[in-house]
Amino acid sequence: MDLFLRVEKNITNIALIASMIMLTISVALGFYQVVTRFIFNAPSEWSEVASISLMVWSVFLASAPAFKTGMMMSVDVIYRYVPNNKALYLKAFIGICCLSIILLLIWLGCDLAYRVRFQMVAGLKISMSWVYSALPVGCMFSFFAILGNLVHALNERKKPSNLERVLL
Amino acid sequence: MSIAIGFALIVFFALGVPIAISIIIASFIGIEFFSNLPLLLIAQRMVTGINSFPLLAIPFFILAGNLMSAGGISKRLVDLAKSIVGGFQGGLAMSCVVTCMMFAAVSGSSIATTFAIGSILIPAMVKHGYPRPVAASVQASSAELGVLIPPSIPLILFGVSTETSIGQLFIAGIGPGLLIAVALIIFVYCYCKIKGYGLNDKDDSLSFVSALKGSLIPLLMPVIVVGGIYGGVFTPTEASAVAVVFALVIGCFVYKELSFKTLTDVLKKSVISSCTVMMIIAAASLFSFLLSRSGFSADLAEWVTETFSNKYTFLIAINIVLLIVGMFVETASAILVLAPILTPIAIYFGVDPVHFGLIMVTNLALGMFTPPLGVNLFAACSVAKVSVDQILPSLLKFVIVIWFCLMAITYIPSITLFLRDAVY
Repeated sequence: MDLFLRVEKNITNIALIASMIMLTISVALGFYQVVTRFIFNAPSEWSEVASISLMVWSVFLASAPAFKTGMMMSVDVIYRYVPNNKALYLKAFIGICCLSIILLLIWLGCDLAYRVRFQMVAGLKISMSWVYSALPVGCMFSFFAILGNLVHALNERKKPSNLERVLL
Repeated sequence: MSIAIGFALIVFFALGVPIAISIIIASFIGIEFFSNLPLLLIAQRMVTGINSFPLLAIPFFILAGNLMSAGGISKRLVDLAKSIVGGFQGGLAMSCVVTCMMFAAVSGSSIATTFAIGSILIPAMVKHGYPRPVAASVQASSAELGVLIPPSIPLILFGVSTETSIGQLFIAGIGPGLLIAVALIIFVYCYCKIKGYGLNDKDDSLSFVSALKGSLIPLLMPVIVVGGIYGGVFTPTEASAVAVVFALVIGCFVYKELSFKTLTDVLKKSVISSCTVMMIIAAASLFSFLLSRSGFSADLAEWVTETFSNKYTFLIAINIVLLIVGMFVETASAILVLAPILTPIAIYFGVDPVHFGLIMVTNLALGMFTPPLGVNLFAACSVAKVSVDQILPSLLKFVIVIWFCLMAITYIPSITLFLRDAVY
């Protein structure tokens, strides 16, 4: 389990760093657009589309560290009313819900990216698949992050319960 | 279908499943069991939902706000606020309101405002004898200004989801923002006088000229952003990119407080914060499509127009519903799901969409510092090291003040629209 958690940490870090780089380039392109239009009087045709596409990638890649750090917004009032010893069951349920949806998104995202492979992104002359692939790729990273969180939560418990034995 | 997905959404929200995932689950149930639509729609709507140029302004403004915060602007804005209102009894608490107002103009997020300003002013207020719950209440309620004064992320969300001009929403936010700021300052002053808080605040008063010199450059940012948009120089999204570069230049070359390590931390924080909002937008785009496809929006519109006889009864109902929704649901999700449904109804009743946007954002923002789900409330409590239960008695008074402001914003449209009408 420790080996899995170490691998998962590295995978999530890769997603985070890639997301940070994409955000940086996206901002740079947004600024470049202002510069080309108002300083050089020659508006760039590709920078807007490239900036949006990079942001789509940045968002889906950042979903892995967002899940990992528990930053995904949720209505967590229920934790106040659930006793500590039962909270693990709730966390496991939430983790399984997230994993199921993430797997669904990987499947649908791959399918969609394949179907749009002949459509071109206006202004960039690249396949739409490059943009739509952000969803399944980001979700693959998230899958490991959520699984890592679940394993970590179960590892925290000293005495494994029936649920843990089933899950592990 | 709409009942099933609505029920599923409430159940998964209540169980603590992340909001974006809850929305996707509810939509999945609707598509798979109650419609003939293909499941591929989920992936397609999620990508196209965030594949939009106006939405880029959200991550960019988040990044600009974080850069400003890490680049040493917070302390300088606090000094400027102290030099303006610090000479009175309760000056420190009033400085908190004024600083939040100024910080709101360089950051689009109220939670960023709470942490950036609260971490400086809450300990200072406690040191000056303010009870911790009062200090936390002042901070939590002042952060409401963060979502009204431009740039504002909730206003961008409203603009994108209802196709209302973001430029007009930004300028319309200034009036309600100033109203709430003035109301809070007056209330804080009277409250401190009655309770005897902040008697020594006058000792901390600073020279206005030297404080202004220190904070003049960051205060240029709202001028560049708002001026640039209204001068037709750039779009709100381009303004946000300019804001990032401006914040970077200030932090690195003027104040020299942004190191490589700080920059990576800021980027990390920004991508994660942006992702949490953008994932909800992606999921909500799917959800809104399903709601309109199922005929729910049209049915609701028909029911509302038959039930409420005029715009005032409709607005009262909106105020109450949004207050309750805001208490339980996070602002961004509430705007993305409800704004496309409610705005056409509001237009039918003769409410200007820009005015309705400000009503909705002010109303929902009230929920950001009311329990059980007030992000600013939790942030202020964590900075002040008090529990939510302890803060409630003092917080209630601030809630009432903002509620009166909300009533004024709702029923006196000119507060919102006078600047918009003057400019456009």
